[in-house]
Amino acid sequence: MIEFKEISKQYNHNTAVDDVSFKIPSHQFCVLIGPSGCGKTTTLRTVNKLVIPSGGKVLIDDRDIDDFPLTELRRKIGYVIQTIGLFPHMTVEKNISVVPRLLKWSREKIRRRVSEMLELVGLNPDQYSKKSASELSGGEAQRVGVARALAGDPPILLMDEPFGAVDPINREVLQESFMRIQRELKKTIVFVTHDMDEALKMADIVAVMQQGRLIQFDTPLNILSQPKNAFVKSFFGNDRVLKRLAMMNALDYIIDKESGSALSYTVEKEETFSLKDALTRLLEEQTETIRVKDVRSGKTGLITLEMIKQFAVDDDSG
Amino acid sequence: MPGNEFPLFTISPLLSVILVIILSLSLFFEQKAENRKKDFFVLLFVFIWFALLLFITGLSADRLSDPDNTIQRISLSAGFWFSLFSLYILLFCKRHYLNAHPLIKALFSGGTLFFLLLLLLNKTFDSLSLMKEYTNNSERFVKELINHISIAFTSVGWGIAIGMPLAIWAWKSRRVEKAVLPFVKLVQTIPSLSMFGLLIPPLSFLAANVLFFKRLGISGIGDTPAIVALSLYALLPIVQNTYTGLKQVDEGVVDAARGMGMTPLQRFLSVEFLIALPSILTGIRTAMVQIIGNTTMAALIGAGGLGIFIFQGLGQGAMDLILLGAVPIIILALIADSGMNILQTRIRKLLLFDRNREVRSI
Repeated sequence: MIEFKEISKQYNHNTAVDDVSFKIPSHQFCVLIGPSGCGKTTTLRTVNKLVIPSGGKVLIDDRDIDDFPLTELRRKIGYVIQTIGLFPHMTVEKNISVVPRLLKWSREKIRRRVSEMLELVGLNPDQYSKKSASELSGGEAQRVGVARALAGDPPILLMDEPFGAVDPINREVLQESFMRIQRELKKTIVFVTHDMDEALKMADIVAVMQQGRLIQFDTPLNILSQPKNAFVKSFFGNDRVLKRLAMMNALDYIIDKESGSALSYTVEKEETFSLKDALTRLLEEQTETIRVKDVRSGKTGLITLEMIKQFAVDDDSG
Repeated sequence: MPGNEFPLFTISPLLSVILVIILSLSLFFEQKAENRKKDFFVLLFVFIWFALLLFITGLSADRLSDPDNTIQRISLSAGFWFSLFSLYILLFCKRHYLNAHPLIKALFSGGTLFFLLLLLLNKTFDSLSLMKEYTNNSERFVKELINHISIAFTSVGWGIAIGMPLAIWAWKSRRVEKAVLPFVKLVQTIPSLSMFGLLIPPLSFLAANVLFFKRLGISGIGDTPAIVALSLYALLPIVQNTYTGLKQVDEGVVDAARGMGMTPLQRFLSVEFLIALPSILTGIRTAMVQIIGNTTMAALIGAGGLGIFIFQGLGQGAMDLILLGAVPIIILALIADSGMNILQTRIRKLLLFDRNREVRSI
């Protein structure tokens, strides 16, 4: 668990972070989001003490981070940044093994760990371990950056716009593969971005910041359905309703009702069918009901246009 | 001294004709050869030209010399030196762009040196006054050569020992940066002769008044002021390149190194310094070549070195004595330069620089 306790940071009378408090439960994926200059990166960097707060404390598992020796603390926290910062004079293998070497692991263990990490991020160890950073594409370099951050098996991972410099197509691939990694490893992650689609897609919990203040700290769904103020509302855009529908799994909302002439849709394995997908199908076919069937559970039921309308107005105060 | 001029074709018409034929042939092949092989042909002809030129020179000198006339001197005219110089430029430019195995490249430059050595051992040049000056001064020549090398390398050594920490300090501290960089630039603008002069009073004072310095053998003239002055000159390239090399280390790389839990020393030694190393080596290389040349002036304050022959030659108007000093200095500088080049190439390779790009460094 990471707890931010009344964190503030001033730079020459400019307040970058202003009295921010929140708790990230262990194994959760927390996204810090907000417009540039809102203090999200500064907040992130207080965790591994790259920024020393002017006021307040950061606690990891209820222990003040000041109680840990600095290098020890940092070696237990993986760190990925937008510019990646791969060491240009080291091979991919050496880059990944930096923290294990600092932790004085045995040579054999390090070697195995490097291959393991490369495979985890989807790069073939035989092909990549001897390459230099300059021989990698942007996406490959960022994968190596993630592998390097995870190599020391840290319980916490800090990621500062890690996919920001990657083109949109590759970014989506990286997001998907990183989410797969997270499902496997269950790290506690603090992730900074200004891309709200990225935030909504990846986060378990979102911290929205503006001008150094924490505005709202909630699940993506709640942030969409109950935005705390006009800023949050406008930040997540006019298509908030659609975004929310996109996050709701249709199978969770089907009702057991008979309907003769309904449109039908079968949800295959590994597939998700959201309320937004259902709405799209309904609009495409100009009809009011769709029968959804789940291949995995064999469950079947109806989604109606009327229901979707209900969800869309739900909780939205205006 | 007055003398007679002997153009090559009056000494040996046959050899001059051969030279001209070779020249025309080389031009012809240069035009005809496929692009890929052009460089190779040019190099080959340069090599043949070089060999012939030296050989013919020695032979002609032999023909002109009169064994009974002991004060006769045979000097090489400007034409010879110009030819040699242009051949040298051609050789190194073409060698540089030749797309061939390093061994073949080494063969071309090594071959020329080897051939020169062969001719020297064969006494081909012994009739030339340059060689006569050498024979007359051989003992002193070796002594001053060693002296020259030791002064130059000691100075560069001090330059590294002082310049690198200074640059690192300047890189770490804004205030030091503002003092150090202008200082080393200022030093560079002081003419070497006045620098030697400026150093005489303080060093004499130290030697006379502080026992420690006296025991070290420090004095106002001789090796000490020479090495002090030359070390100061070595500072600029070393400080500047070390400083820029460190400054250029990517901020993200430093941030990552910090975030990964490296101590400041670990970060410096295994990241920042290594990334700056190629630039630092360039600085040392520049300093070396520059100092080997500048060491010439050390002769003026009694430190010796090859400059002695140059200033003696200047005083006596003996062109060949000047060359006896100048030519070895040039060769020394070239050897130091290519030695550093080899070292740099190796280190760049070890540090994975130039991967993924074909970069040629001179």
